[in-house]
Amino acid sequence: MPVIELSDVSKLYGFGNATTVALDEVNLVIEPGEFMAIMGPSGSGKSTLLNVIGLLDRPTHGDYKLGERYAARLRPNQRAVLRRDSIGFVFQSFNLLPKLSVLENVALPLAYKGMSQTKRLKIAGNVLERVGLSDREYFLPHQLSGGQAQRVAIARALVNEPSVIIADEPTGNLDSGSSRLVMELLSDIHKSGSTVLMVTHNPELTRYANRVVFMHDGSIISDEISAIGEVPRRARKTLYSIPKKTLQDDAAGVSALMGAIPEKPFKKVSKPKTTKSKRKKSYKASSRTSKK
Amino acid sequence: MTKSNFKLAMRSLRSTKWRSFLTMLGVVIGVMSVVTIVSLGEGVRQQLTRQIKQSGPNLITIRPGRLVERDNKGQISQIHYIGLLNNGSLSEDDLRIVEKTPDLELVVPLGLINGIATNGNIKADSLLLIGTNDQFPTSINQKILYGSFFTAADANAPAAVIGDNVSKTLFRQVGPIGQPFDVRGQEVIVRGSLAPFDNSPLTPGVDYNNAILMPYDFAKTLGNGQIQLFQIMVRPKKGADLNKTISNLTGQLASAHGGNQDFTILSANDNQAIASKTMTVLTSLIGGIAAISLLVGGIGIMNIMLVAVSERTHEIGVRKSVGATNRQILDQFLVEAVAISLVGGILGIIGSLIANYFLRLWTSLEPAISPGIMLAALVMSLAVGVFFGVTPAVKAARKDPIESLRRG
Repeated sequence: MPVIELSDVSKLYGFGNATTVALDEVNLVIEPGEFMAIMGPSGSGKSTLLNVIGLLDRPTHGDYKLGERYAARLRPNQRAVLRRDSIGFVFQSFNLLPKLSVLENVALPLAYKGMSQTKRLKIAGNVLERVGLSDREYFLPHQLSGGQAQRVAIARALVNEPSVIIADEPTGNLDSGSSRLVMELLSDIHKSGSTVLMVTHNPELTRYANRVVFMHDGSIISDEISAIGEVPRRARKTLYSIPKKTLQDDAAGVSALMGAIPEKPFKKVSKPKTTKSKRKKSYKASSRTSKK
Repeated sequence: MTKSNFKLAMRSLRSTKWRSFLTMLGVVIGVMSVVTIVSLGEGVRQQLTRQIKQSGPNLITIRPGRLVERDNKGQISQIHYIGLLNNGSLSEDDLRIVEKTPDLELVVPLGLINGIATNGNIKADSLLLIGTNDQFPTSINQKILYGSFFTAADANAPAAVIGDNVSKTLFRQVGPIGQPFDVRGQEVIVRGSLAPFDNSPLTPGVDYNNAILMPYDFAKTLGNGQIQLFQIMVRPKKGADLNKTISNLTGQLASAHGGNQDFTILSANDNQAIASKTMTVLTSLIGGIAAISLLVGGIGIMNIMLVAVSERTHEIGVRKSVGATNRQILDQFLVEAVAISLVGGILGIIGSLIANYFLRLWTSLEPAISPGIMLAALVMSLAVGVFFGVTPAVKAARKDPIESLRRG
């Protein structure tokens, strides 16, 4: 049974002429235990897709099934509870609360579950041990290096034993050494059976994934299964078609993004609906420039 | 959850110490002024009650003017506050009628004369010159501190008994027994000095601590025959029915006044009720004004919470992304607002206790702070916190998580 099932999910912003299509009838099925990397240029809808899957956002159209729950039309509080219990977020900018200690940051999701303080700090301590930061429990986030902060964020994402870990450019702010550590950690989590979704601009990092999806203008234009440790064909093309600065820059995901824009879009993976395609094209043309 | 929210709130307040303190100060001042004023009012009310109790339960006072309206059962339904300061309409004829009424143990007239008491160079123009008879201290169970009260035989003697303050203002010495002073060119000798009065409940507006009491007939002569009766105190004999005496007096005086009830007869209970009601009205009036400062304090809380919510938008986004429901965010900010107002309330009560201590030390007031007042103040500050904290908290709860996260 798939853990995530998106059918014809669209997300529109604005009205009338100013309508922006962030997601364009996306169909996506993710099985449990997959490590899926999502690539694509800025504004291609990757983050919106993650927000919808992560229940931070609700789709304008379409159905979204998370596990056994139909999640597209839930009320905000139901979404919050489902998010708390089944989703773990890892952000590019870590998003730790600056005034809480590392341990308290990790325990935060448990607090919203109504767990007692001693119990949640104990669980948080165990998870911190798993990411190798037991000796940093009482540090404040600003006392940590970027890599450590991201590992704390991963611990926080793990603490509720979610069914899906969503990582939005987790190495975007890190140097290559820290990037590797973080990716190894995510890979470990994947190996222990979790489903991981990751947005990245760095094709190198798709080595850790067993499925790579490319997005462009709100649609999934390529969806490849690849063995772990290999950069898939399409990603390799991205990798070698752009001029690199240094290996370190690239490994940290600093550059390497503009090459992902294809000259001519690939055939869509989602079943294209011929009846609607004309209308879509008209507003897509106007929206391409206005998208973030 | 509320407990941990409270801890969280205290932590967040500590992290912005100055801001929290200044916001709190609004509530502290508000609660402090309300509690102090209410306890002052309560203290004065207790003093009045004590004074009335001291006079005994069956002392009847007759006063000019229509001071109260009564319902069918004879209970006071309305008080004419302006009338409390009223004089006139009570004449010596009325006094004679009262004196002739059967079953009375004592009748004490109180009349004002015009004049200024002087002692050498010292001129005391704020002193009241009152003519009364020898029964006065008995009627209200007032002790004589020095000397003695004048007797029935002294009806025309130039003798005076002074209130407690007079020795200071007119004589600048303690217990000036035998000292002479002048009123309208007539020399009067001090016979005694009264123990201090807590207050002057029997006649609002007349302060017996600043009064010079003289024999009625002598005082009348001194005032060239002009004496204004402002009160007659009557006590029925033991065993006589109080209500019957009152209705008897009322009937007789009314018929003498041609059927008009332009006078008021009050029992000790009535006096107490009037004192109590008057103090309640006064206290709630001034307390209400003080409560406005509490309102301003509340607006301060709202203001600072709105700032906090917009400052902590990113935090709200993070909390929501890890699964906080709108309700949990709302609780967090509401508890923070309530924490400000509640801690402010507690500090306000402590401040008020300190203020009351110094009021007792430095003035003759005796503010009485009761657990009830303190509890009411706490509930009030809690209500202020909730009322002014709800809007910012709702605003925080309704924030869009994606937008909030972006505001890093």
